[in-house]
Amino acid sequence: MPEENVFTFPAGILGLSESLTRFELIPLEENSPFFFLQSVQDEDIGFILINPFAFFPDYEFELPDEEAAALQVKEPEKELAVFCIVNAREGLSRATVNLLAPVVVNTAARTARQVVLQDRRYGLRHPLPRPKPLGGGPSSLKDPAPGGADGTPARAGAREEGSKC
Amino acid sequence: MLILARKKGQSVQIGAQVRVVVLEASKDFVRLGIEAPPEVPVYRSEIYAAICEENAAAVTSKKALESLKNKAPAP
Repeated sequence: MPEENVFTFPAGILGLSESLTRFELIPLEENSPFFFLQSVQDEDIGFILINPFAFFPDYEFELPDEEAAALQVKEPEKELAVFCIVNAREGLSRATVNLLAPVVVNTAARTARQVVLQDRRYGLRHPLPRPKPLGGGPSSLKDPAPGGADGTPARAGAREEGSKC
Repeated sequence: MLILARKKGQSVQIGAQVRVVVLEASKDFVRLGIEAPPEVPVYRSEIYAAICEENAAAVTSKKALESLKNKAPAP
């Protein structure tokens, strides 16, 4: 496993065992806004993540100072990438996105935290915008959302918008 | 559960590093100030519970994901 894709969540992930602190971030397909966050410690634990800016171009938030400190951020614009957790329990066509508690990653320090926003615009279950129903077979996962994925995220989904924090 | 009576302006010390101050109190509402080190996250309890629940619901595995991707389109 390439170590460079492994991130440490010092605080773990809410709702999971606190001992699960190491996760590998894997792009699902090349140039896709979809990623998979795989626990290094438990192969049955993982999350589907998206680059939120590919689906919600107006998504923005302020990263609280204490979160930035905990992430050991030195140069926010270079280091930070933002992902959101997808809940596809009801199938991909009814998938929802957690915009209230994004996963913020420091690509330099290899640390990550799920940050809970104090922002009434965002909730736990926003419908994942989809250009068409799941009918295109396996490849449909990589279809970008309408108006979304110009500029495919570079490394680990980092985009300019990620630095609005 | 430990129960303490506090007046406005008084506080409670939890361990060496966490202090909770009563800033404002009325009949059915209190405003609390919380001093805690950055590694101690503070959440409104209902938000904490909701996020734990949502994360647990979103957990999946590579295997489950493959079957999701290959599943026939929903009717």
